[in-house]
Amino acid sequence: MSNRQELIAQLYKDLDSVTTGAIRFLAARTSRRSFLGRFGVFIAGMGAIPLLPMSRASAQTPFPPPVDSVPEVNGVDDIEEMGDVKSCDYWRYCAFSGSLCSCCGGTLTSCPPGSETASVAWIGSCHNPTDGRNYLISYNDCCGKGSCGCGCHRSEGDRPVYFPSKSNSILWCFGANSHAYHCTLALVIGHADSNTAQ
Amino acid sequence: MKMKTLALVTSLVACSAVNAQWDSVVGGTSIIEGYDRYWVSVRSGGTVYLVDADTGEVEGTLYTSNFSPAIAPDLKNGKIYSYGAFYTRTEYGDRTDVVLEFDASTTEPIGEVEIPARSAGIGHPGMMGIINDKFIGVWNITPATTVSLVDTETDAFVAEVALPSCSGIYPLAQGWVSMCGDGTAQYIELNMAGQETRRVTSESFFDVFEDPVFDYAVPATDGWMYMSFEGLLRKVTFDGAAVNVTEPFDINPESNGTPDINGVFREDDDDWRIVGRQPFTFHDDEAILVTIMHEGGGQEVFEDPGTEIWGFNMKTGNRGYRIELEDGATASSVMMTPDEDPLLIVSTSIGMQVRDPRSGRLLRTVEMLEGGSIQSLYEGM
Repeated sequence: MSNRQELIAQLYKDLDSVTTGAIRFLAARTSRRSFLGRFGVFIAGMGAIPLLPMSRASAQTPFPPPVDSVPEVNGVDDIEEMGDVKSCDYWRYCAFSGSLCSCCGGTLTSCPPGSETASVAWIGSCHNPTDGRNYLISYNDCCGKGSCGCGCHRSEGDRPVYFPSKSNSILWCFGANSHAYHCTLALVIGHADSNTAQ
Repeated sequence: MKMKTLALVTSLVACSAVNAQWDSVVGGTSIIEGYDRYWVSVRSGGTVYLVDADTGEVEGTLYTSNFSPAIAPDLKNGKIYSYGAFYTRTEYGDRTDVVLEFDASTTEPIGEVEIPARSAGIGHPGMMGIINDKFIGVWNITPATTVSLVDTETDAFVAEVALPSCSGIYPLAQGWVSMCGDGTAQYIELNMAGQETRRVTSESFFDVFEDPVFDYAVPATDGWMYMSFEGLLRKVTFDGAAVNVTEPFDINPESNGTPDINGVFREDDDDWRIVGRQPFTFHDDEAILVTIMHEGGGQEVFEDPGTEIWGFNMKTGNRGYRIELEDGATASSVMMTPDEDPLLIVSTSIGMQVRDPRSGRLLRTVEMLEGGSIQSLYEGM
């Protein structure tokens, strides 16, 4: 047996004897019920700690809110958004024309059940009033079913069909098995301005 | 005696019942005897209504598909063409795209030619055209843009012509004109085999970000009329060598700051925009331009319906009338019938209106035809 293996075997032996001793010490001095009671009090007390009047700088909302500041955003999770996604006034729909998937069982980013997401989309640029920043919005159609209603037609920046990437009149069901139009998603896919925090 | 009289009367009534003439449902199918310059088509969903605008009567229908924005009348050969996309389960399943051929008299489908499953299935009458009196052109998008060609003499698909970032099929000379995203008009010429023989591009005359032109055009005697979002009307022609674009006519002239003879200043129309699916119509011989107008908004309203109709005299370049549509109606399409004594057809939210284009006066309304794109059956557009 090598020296390394002997050392490891000795370490296991020592650990075993120490652990056994500690458990016997606890068992001799505490009942199971008293242990559970004390452990419960400890856990409950941990929950009360955030209520104590201590300083919690990370959760504070600066007041008054900063004016004209533009937050740094490095992904969709960072975006501060407000508004009703089922309303045509929602900020992501600025270049939208069609039916809102969010009122037909879908969301801003996923198609309603039974429809199919097109892989090619048209692009708009929308201003998010909540964080004051501009974003690129991908409008992907969901296809294979009849139109779901819930019409919305804002078309900011829309162009005729001879400029396809900015035209919302086209049936954007490319890549899907059917070009029967159902509704349209609104995905944030990037910045339409500089990501420099001010 | 009374019994005999009663029996006689009963017998006579029975005899008259036997000899009565009643309608028969057998062999009662109507046909369309003929079309004239006042006949138009109005599309609503997959149905195309064939209407005599002079009487306001719907005389027949064609069944196309939900992906059929246009028809191509070929009445000298007794036919009307359209195109469509059909799924085996209406909106899903296997897709087949076809050019449809109808008998103009019976309105029955009498043939079809399969084309690549790339037809756009959206738009207006400019998405389809008859080229060289021989080929049906259908605009495709995948999103690469092309045109499928069908030979009407052999009933066969013959070619697909690349048309990058261009749209519309407006027949001219031995080919057609399309409008393109780089601000040019393009003429594509075909030989009688359906092969592209020449492509001529105009100088760039608009900026797609500043003031794009509508992808819808209307015919002039020697070319096609294009309108920009800001209301600049231009004519595109082909002289055999070059594609020419005229200087624009502005439908929104600004006041020159001088009062008229009564001291009244002319107000600018800056807050009004030309809008619609078929936003304007032009009659070369009668020198009339009619537009659909929308108050307020920016360029994003270009496909919205409008609330007013404006008529221009194109000999003087002045607006002759402006009409606010009655009962809160909105208009999405306008068209004038071809040849002499034209009628103005307005597709509105409360029906298809027939008006006198010189006065704007309402002549009749076909209430069952709400919205929908309009085409002349006489010469197509």
